[in-house]
Parts: sequence; C-alpha cells; structure tokens
Amino acid sequence: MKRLFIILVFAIVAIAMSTSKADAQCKQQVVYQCATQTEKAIYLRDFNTKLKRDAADEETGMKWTVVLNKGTQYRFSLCAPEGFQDQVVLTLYDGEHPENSKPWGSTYDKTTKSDRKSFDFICNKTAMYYISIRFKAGEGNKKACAVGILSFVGKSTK
Amino acid sequence: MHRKWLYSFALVCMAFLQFNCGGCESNSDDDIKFLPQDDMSSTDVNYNSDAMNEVIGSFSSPVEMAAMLKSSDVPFNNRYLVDPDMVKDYTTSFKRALGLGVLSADLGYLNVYSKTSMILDYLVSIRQITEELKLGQFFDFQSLKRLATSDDNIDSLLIMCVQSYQNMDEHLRNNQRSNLSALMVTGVWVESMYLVTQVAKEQTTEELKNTIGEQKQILNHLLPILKLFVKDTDKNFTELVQNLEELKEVLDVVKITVHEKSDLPQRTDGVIEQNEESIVTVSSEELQEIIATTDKIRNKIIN
Repeated sequence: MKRLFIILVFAIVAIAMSTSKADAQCKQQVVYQCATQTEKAIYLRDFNTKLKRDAADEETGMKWTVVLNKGTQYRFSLCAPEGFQDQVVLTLYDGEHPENSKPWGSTYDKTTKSDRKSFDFICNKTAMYYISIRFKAGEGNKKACAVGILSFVGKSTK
Repeated sequence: MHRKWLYSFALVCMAFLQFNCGGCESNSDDDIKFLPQDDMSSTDVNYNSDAMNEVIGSFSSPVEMAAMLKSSDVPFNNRYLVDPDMVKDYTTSFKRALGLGVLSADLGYLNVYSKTSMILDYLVSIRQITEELKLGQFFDFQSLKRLATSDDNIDSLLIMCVQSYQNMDEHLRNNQRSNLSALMVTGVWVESMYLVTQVAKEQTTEELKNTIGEQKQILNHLLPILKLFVKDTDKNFTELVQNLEELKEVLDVVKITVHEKSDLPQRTDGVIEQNEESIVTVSSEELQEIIATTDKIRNKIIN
C-alpha cells in the first residue's frame, strides 16, 4: 500500500510538472512567433495569460494597464495556440470607453462577428489604457493560453 | 490506516490543483478598479499598494522612445549613452536597480538602431548588475551574446532583451521587491527622457516638444509610486523623489488640453484613430528648462 502511494505521488508530481512545462512552452513559443509576425513593427512588450472557464458566466483571462504615447501608431496582435484563435479576444479600453460597451479597439467585431489577428491604434492622447485578453462569451470549455503583442508601427502622420 | 492514506492522497491532490491553477487568474468586471486616467492637472495621483504593482508594469517599454526617435529619422548618436563600465562603481541595490533601468533603455536604443558592435559591452554590464541583484536567471547572457554577434538576428535580440527586462520586472514585483522594480522603471523613464531631450537640445521640432511635454503625465503617475517607498531611514528614495519633484515643477508649466476630433477619415484597413486629442503647449524657454533639469537629474542618477 505504501509503495502504491509513493508511486501515486510521483505520478501526480510528474503530471503537474509536465502541465506547468506545457504552459511555459505555450508562452515562450507563442510569444516569439507572435512577436516575429508583426511585420515591420518594433516589438515593445507582451501580455500573456492562461485562460480557463469553469462556469458559463465566469469572466476569464486578465487585464493589464499600459501607457500609450500621443502621436504613435501601435499594433495590437493576438496569438493563441491552434484551435483557440477564434475563441479569444483582445480589447483596448479605458475608464471612459469600457471594455464591454465602447472599447477603443478589439480583435473581435461584435457587429459583424468577425475576428482579426491584429488592429492598429493611432494614439492621440498620452495616458494609461487597459488591455484585456479573455475568452469570448460562450467559448472556453478547455484550458488555453493566449498572448497579446504590443508593437510600435511608427509616428502617426497627420 | 486506509483513512490516513486517503487523507494524505487528498492533500496531495489539493496541492496539485493549487499548483496548476497558479496562473489561472481571472478578473471579473466587478474586480476592475479603474486607475486615475488622463489627469490633466498637475496634482499627484494617489495609489494604494494594490494598484501600485499594476501601474509599475504599465510604463513604457525600454525601446519605445528609441523607436520613436528612429521613426522620426533622428540619426544615432552614441554621445547620449551612458558608459557601461560605470556599473562597477554601483555598490547598493538602489543604485544597481536604477542603473539597470538606464542601461536597459540604452540597450533598447542600440537595438533599435541595430548597433550590434556596441551591444556586447552593455550586455556584460547588465549581466553584472542582474547577478548582483539576484536576477541572473532572467538574463540569458550566452544566448544574447550569440544573437548580438550576428547581424541577422537583430529582431530576435531585441525581442529577447525586452523579454528579459519584462521578466525581471515581473519577478521583482511578484516577490515583494517592488521598490527595485519601481527604480528600474524610473531608470528607463529618466534615460528615455534624457535621450529625447538631448535630441531636442540640438534640433527642436513640434513633435519632440509634444513628446517631452506629454511626459508630464507619466511623471504624475510615477512620482506617487516612488513616494510610497520613502522612509526616514532611507535617504536614497528621499533624494530621488526630491530630484524628480524638481523636474515635475518645470513640467507642470506645460499645458495639456483635450479636444474631440471630429474630422477623422473613415478607415477600413484595421487602423483605429483615437477621436480625442491632447494639445500640448510649451514655450521654448520652458523647454530649455525641462532639458536642463532632465540633464541634471540623469547625471545624478548615473554618477
């Protein structure tokens, strides 16, 4: 019995470690691939999160604050592993332009129900903004991870 | 006996679940507390310590100001950069963390301008600081060195440098070392401000004036964070805050107003233009004062 228990403990630890490793790989690989797909834009930073929805109405993912500077064209790109690309959404918003009603930008157009891999944002006001990466409503019955990349496209031309 | 084993098994299972859900962070809308946004006033923003970490992580990437300069066709100038050998004289964590920020911004500048021949000296100095700050595990010197010695890998090098910076910053914030993270961020900000003001000193454009003037907003968020670490026993933070207060005073004269833009062109190419615009007003005399004060503070930080 004691031997069986020890084997069981080892098995659980092994599973835990492999899951953790898979998550880490997901981050590293997806970030790198995503960061190198931004064409000529310069990579500035990334936002990565694990996603898991246990209940249908549960909010998933994470939000981050980010300072954006006036006069700059930024690119926000979203990458998720194979099979999850159309389940995840990246949103740019602030206090006056809430995430769910009037965000500045999103990789998912609720009106046309279409996804885009990235969008560009011409910032005309230096301030703190928010980025969120979440499962879309009704999606997310499996654990996933996703990465958002912020890159610098150039100075905006007036 | 069986019950004892089952109990132990349950404990292991709980530990397993805990382990796996470590990163399954979720933020419901109810949890979201909006931070003070674009405060146009000159008053400080007050943060509680919960919001502090979030704000520290929001500041600009160490390559952003350099990217902005390059995009504006400003030529490279190595006179703007700090001597990487200076770090040998840094003996406190305070000085090292600030220096790490300064060097990271300079490394970003070199990366953006693809000056691979100069990068190695900065990598060596950054490695020394990261080891002294016990952050060496986030700075893969050998891989960075390999990328730096090959011109073909400049994009990979930039990505890896920024990620190293991001990982160090995140680690500090997650391990009750937010004071060092705040110093790193301050080092990046001061050095970036120094780079852009040095360019403006030689050739002022409206674009540069705007960029410099708008830094008032960033300092208004950064200063309250640094003030959280001021203690009677630590004169380093007190001095740093006093120096930045001096810069805040000269930046406070910059007027920033927000207007709605109604004449935006219709775009269908996935580009969204913000329909609010801030207008920055700064006179040439005020700009000269900002340049001089930034210069003075940056030199205090690096020496």
